[in-house]
Amino acid sequence: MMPKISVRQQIEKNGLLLIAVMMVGIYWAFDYVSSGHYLTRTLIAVLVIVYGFFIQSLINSRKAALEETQRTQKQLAQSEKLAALGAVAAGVAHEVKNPLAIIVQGVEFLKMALRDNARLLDVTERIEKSALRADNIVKGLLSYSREIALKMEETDIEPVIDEALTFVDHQLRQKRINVKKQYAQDLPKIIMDCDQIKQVFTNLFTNAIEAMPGGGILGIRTEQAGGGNGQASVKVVVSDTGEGIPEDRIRRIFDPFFTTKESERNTGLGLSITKGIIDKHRGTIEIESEPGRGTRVVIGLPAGLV
Amino acid sequence: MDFFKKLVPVTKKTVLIIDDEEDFCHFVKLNLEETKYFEVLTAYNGPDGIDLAIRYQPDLILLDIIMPNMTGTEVAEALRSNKATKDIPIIFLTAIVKRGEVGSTEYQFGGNFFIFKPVKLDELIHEIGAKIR
Repeated sequence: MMPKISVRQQIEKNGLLLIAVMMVGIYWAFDYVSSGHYLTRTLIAVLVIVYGFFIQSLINSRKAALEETQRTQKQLAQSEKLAALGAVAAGVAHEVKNPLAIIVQGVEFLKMALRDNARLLDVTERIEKSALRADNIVKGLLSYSREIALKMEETDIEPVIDEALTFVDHQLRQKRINVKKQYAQDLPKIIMDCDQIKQVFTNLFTNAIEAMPGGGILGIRTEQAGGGNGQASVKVVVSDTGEGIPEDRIRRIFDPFFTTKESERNTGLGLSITKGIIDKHRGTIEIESEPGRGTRVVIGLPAGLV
Repeated sequence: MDFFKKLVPVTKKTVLIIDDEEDFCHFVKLNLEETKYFEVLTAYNGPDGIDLAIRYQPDLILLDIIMPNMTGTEVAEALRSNKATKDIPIIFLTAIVKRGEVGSTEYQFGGNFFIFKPVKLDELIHEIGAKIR
């Protein structure tokens, strides 16, 4: 199917050709009045049209080349950012993973020592869970900046979403945010790296929570959707009733180090990592937002083999 | 002391940890010894680890990869080239790679195992058990 082109785009693309045709029309009208020779009129008319066509093609090809250069420059800037991020991530990973390993081993000992005290055991388990979560964040950074094989397994999406919700449970309660879940029945299983997809939802939930400092509703809806090539896919819609994102910022929302938040804690990597993970699963991610009303993130994941 | 040994239901296996993270060695030692199945020796650098391995002939060595002065891979090569230690199974401990990356790295040689930090105790014991068995 031919792509739709607006009138304005048509004029931009074929402007000179249109001018040439108009000039020919004017010339014919003028010549009709002064009754010049038919062959001369035709020859001049053809020459003017060919000239217009030639110049227009030249301009179009220059314009395409310029756009291509701009696109390449943008990609280069992006890959430079990623290379820098990769170097930082690799260094940080080693420095962070070692203390995390110490925390986990220390907590494991405490768990054995406190096995008869349910209350303290619960504390140690929460500490361990947080340490492992921090480890997953580091892995996420690494997998974003370097090509690491995904650990694929076939699984339902809902338990993964629910587990990501437990990571933000405390913040939800603290900010008085209600969770509204609408899970569809009989969704197909997805082949995915559970840790990474969990991180996707943790990132989205964290963003939603931060957008609703005064409370609100975090909506999570799942539904089956048919892929463009007939392949089934699962759609997950995460919505909030928060402050929303201005339109000019949405365009750059997936750029690394771009953030709409003012807090110093934000690295501007969350959505960039999220998109990287979704891309690796051959999925899609779209963001719609209305300032003052809220934001909707729509994730699509194919149900078949990746 | 002999009285206490009789209380232990199985023969203890000796594990040597070579890792420059002293706290990590300390906690792994505490955890493994708490299970009553292991006796744990610790070394905080490569040369000390090689000395202990030759002297005590442990059943298994847990070996960190990134260490100052002598890396884990160099330690492993030294152990493999020594008659007294060449058959001791080694499990590499690493904080830098994930499982998916190992296949294409320099770390894969001699059929060694890998454990990725941070590691939970049950996974650690499972891997040790699989290698000793």
